[in-house]
Amino acid sequence: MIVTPNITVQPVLEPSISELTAPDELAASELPGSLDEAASSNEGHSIGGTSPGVKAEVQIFLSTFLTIFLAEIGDKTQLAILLMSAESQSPWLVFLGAGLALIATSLCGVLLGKWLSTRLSPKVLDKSAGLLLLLISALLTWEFFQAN
Amino acid sequence: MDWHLLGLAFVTVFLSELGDKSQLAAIALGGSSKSVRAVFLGTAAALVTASFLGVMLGGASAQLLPIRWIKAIAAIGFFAMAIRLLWSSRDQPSLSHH
Repeated sequence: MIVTPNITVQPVLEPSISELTAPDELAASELPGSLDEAASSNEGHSIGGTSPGVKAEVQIFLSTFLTIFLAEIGDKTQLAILLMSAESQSPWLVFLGAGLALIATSLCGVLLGKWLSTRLSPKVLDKSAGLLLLLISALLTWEFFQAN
Repeated sequence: MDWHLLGLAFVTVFLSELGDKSQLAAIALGGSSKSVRAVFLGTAAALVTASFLGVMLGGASAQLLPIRWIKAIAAIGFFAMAIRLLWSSRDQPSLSHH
């Protein structure tokens, strides 16, 4: 006699766009905690072979660093930090607070991006990320023509 | 330690950076790149270095640096990354190879 298993009905989630469009691609993408994987692969640093690879990671780091560094020079945030530290009695304390804030905002941004990457199909994700980068490029071009 | 000043600097900069282009870049790159960690470290290091430079150079930074042309180079850099993302397919991991 077959006893139907006690079905505890999982709350039926509304199917997200990504599930509708590309379930396989979604499953293939590195869903949970690739941060952790990357961190652990680094700790035992003789173990190679996890997806990005040290060389690729350094490349990503450098390209990210360079573009954002150049974009951020002379930006309003940098000017605000400059003014605050110039006016205050302890400029390094201002710099510390500002630095922590910058680290926090970039962490928020990166985590938001990572979260979005689990919601969107890789194709949609690449397209929207590309458009976002185009927008940033346009903003910088606009600043180029504004500044004299 | 003046916690009030520290907190003030933190909140001011945090609010001014929210939704700013560097954070948009962090969202775009963090979502599309293979290594979230590398993007985070790159973004944070770039922002901290840029503001460090600002504090060191003080008010003279606008005179010392060709800011206009630095913007132009950054614009080209972001444009190149955008094109790479828009044109590459997923089987060639974007932003991480060639």
